[in-house]
Amino acid sequence: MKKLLNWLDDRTGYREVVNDALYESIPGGARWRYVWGSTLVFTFFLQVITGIFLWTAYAPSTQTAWESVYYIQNEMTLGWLVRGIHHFAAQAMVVLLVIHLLQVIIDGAYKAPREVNFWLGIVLMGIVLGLSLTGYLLPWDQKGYYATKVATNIMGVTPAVGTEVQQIVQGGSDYGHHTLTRFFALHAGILPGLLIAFLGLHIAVFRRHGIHAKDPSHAPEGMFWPDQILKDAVACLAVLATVLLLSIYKGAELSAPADPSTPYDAARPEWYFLFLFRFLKFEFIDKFGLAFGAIYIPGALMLFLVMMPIVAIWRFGHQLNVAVTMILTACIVGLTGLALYEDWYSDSEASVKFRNDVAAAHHDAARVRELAQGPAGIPSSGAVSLLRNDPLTQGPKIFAARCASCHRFNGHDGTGHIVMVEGEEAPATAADLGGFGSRQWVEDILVNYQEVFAPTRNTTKEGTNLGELFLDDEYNMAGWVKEHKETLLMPENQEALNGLIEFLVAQSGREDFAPYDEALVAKGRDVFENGTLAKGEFSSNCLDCHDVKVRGEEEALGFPGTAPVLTGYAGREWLKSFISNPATEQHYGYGDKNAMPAFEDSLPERELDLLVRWMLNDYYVSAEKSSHSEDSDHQSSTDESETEDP
Amino acid sequence: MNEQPQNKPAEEGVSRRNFMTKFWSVVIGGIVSLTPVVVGLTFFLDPILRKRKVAGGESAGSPGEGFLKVSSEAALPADGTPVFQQIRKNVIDAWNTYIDQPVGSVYLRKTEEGGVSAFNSECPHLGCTVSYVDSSKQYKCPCHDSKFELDGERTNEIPPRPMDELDVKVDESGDIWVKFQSYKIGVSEQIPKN
Repeated sequence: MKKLLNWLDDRTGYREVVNDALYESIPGGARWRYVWGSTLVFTFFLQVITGIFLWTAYAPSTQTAWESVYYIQNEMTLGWLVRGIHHFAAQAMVVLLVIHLLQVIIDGAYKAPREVNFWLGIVLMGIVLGLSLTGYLLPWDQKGYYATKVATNIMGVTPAVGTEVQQIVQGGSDYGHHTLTRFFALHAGILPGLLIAFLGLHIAVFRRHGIHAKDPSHAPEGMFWPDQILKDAVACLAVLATVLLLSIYKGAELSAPADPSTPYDAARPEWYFLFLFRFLKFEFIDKFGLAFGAIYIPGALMLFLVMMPIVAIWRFGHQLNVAVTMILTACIVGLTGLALYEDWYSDSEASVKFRNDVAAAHHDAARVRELAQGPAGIPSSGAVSLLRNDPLTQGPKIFAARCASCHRFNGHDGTGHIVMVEGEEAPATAADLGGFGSRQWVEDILVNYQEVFAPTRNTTKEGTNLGELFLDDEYNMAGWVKEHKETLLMPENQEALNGLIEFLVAQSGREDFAPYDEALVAKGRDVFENGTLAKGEFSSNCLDCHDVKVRGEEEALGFPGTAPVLTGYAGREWLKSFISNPATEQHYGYGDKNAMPAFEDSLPERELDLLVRWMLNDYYVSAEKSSHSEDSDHQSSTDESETEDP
Repeated sequence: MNEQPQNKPAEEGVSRRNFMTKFWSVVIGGIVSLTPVVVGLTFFLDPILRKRKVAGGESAGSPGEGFLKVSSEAALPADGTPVFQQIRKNVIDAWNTYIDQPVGSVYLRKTEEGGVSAFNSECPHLGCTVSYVDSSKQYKCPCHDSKFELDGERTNEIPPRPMDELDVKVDESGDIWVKFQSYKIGVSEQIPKN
C-alpha cells in the first residue's frame, strides 16, 4: 500500500497538495467561531449534490416546470426529501452568509491585507442571492411566479438600461418558456460556475493571509486537521440536521401552477427579502420613485460594504463601519419583523385578507394536487388548466361574483366569506342555495317554504316588498304549503311526503343523489298526480299547477299551468336554463314575482357550465377526500384552519 | 509549510486524543457528506425502486382485462393476408396523462381455422417494426433480416424467439379486441414489460 502511494505521489505530487490543504496553522487554536465559512462551503456542497439530482427530473418550460416539480415532490422516490434539502439548504446558506459577513466586519477581518478577499466575499454573496432569486422561479408555481415578477420588474426600472436588461433576463417582454430556460441556465450552470470560481479565489486568498485569529493567545497553536475540521464537521452536522428536520416536518411548498390570469394575493418574496419588500411599502419611499427604493438604496448599501476596507484606513473608520453595520442590521431585522407581524399577527383588514389569501392559496395547491393525482391526470397542455376547468375551484368564485349579491351558499358567498357591505354583514335577499336540489331542499320547499324564501322580505321589486309577493300570496306555492304543511307532516303521510321528495329529486337525474328508490318514486308520482295520501287530502294537486315530463318519458303528465314546469327540476339542463333566463314561461314566467335577472347575455357559457357543475357537485373528488367530508360543507377555504407560520 | 503534528514527539495521551479527533472528524465528515449523496442516489434510482402507474386505456364495452378494440372482422381479408393495425390507448408519461395515444402496432389476420390472430409487430430481436412481405408471405424485419412465418414462427436463427402472439377476442358484432402487450426485447423467453 505504502509503495503504491509512493508511486502515486511520485507521479502526481498529491501529498504536498493534501498537506497544504490539511496542515494549516491556526494561531490561538481551533475554535467554534471559525466554523461559519466551512458551513457555507458545506451548504454549497449540499446544493450541488441535490441540485444535480433534481436536474435529472426537472423540465424547464411553462407546461412542464410545475408538472415535473409536482412529480418530484409527490411521486418520485424521496423526491420530497431531495427537494426539501435543496429548498432549506438554500435558506440556510443565506443565514450562514449573513453570520459570516457580520463576523468578518465585527472582527475587522476585512481590513488590510484582506481587502481583496472581502470583495471576493461580496461577489460571492451576490452570486448566492442570484441563485436564490433564479431558483425561486423554477417550480413555476403561483408563489414563485408572482414574487419573481416583482424582482424582474424592479430590474426593468433600472435607469437607462432597465427595459433591455429585463427583456434579456426574461427572454422576451413577458414571462414564458424562455424565462424558464434562461433562469435554469443561470441557476444550474452560470451562477454555480461563477460561485465555484470565486469560491476558489476566496479560499486561495484566505490561505495566503491565514485565518484572522480573534485572539492568538487564546490557546496553543492548533492545526486545521484534525482540530478545526472536527469542529467544522460538527457544525455541518448541525446544519444538516436542521435542514433535514425542516424538510421532514415542514417540507418545501409547491403552490398552484403559475397562472397569469389568476391573481395571487398571497404573494411575498422569500423571507430574507421581506425587509426590502416592506421597505418599498413605505409611502415616503415610494414618493421618490420605485428606482430610488428598489435600486439606489440597495445599491448604496452594497457600495458601503465595498468601501468598508477603505474607510477602515482612517482612524475610527472600523468603529464607523461596525456602527453602521449594526444600525443597518437592526433596520433589516426590524423591517423583517414588521413585515412578519403585519402579515401574521396584526388584526388589520389587510392582514386578515392576506391570511385568508394564504389559506386560499393552500386550498388551491391541495386541490390541484388532488386533480393531478386523479384519474384524468395532467393533460399535455399542463396543470394550469386543471384549476381553470375545475368546478370546485371556479364555481365558488363565480357564485361570489355573480350570485352572492342576493343569494347565499350555506350562509357565505360560496368561497367561505361572509358577504359584507360597508363593514356589516349584508342580508341575503334570495334563497340560500347550499344543498340546492337535494332531498332536504325539496322537503324544505314542501313544508318550510316560508323559511327558504324568507330573505325575499329584505328586498323590493318595483316598490313592493318581494317577500309579500312571494310569501303572502294565498294562491301560489306559499299558500299551498301553508294549507298543507300539517297534513304532509302527519306521521301517516310520512311515506307520501318521502315519495313526493324522491319523485321530485329523481327528476333532476343527478348522479350525486343516486340511487333513487324506485318504489318510493312511483309512490311520489302518484301523490304528485293524484294527491293520494294516507290521511287528509290536497285542495289542489301538484299537477294542477305544475306540469312535468317525467324523466325517461316522452309525454308530459299534464299541461303547463300557472306554476313552473318541473321537467328535469334542479338538474343540469334545468339549472342552466333557469340561470340563463328565470323569467321564461317554464320557470317564473307567470306572475310578477321573479326578481332574478337573466344571465344569458352576461354569463359566458363556460362560466355557466362551471357554476352549474359546482352547484350539482359534478366534479372529481378523491375517494379519500369524499369519505372525509361526506356530511360537511363541500367548499370553504376559511373553514379550514390552514395557516402557515412564517 | 508547517510541521506535521504526527512528526512531533508526542506523549501517549496527546496522541490518543489526536486519534479520537481524527476518528470523529472522519466519521462526522463522512455522515454529512454521504447523507445528501445517498438521498440523491436513491432518488436517481426511482425508475427501479418505484412501481409506476399504468393508465386505464380500455375502450368502452371492453370485455375487461385490458382488451382494446382495434378493428372489426370485416376489415380483414378472407385469404388470411395480415393487416397492419396501429394500437392506441391512454398513456401515462411521468406527470402527463395522454388520452388515446399510439403505443404500438399489431398484425391481424384471419387464420385458416376461421379465428383471428394478432402479433405484436415489434421484432423480438432488437425491437424494429417488422414488415409483411406479400410475395413470400412472410414477416421480415428491416433491421437485421429476422424472418417469420404467418403463424409467427422463425424461419432463421436471428431472432431469439417467435413473434409475440397476443390474446384476441371477437365479439358478437364482429369487433376485434386485442390485449396489447410488449415484451422484453433480445431474450428467448417472453417477459412482459411493466
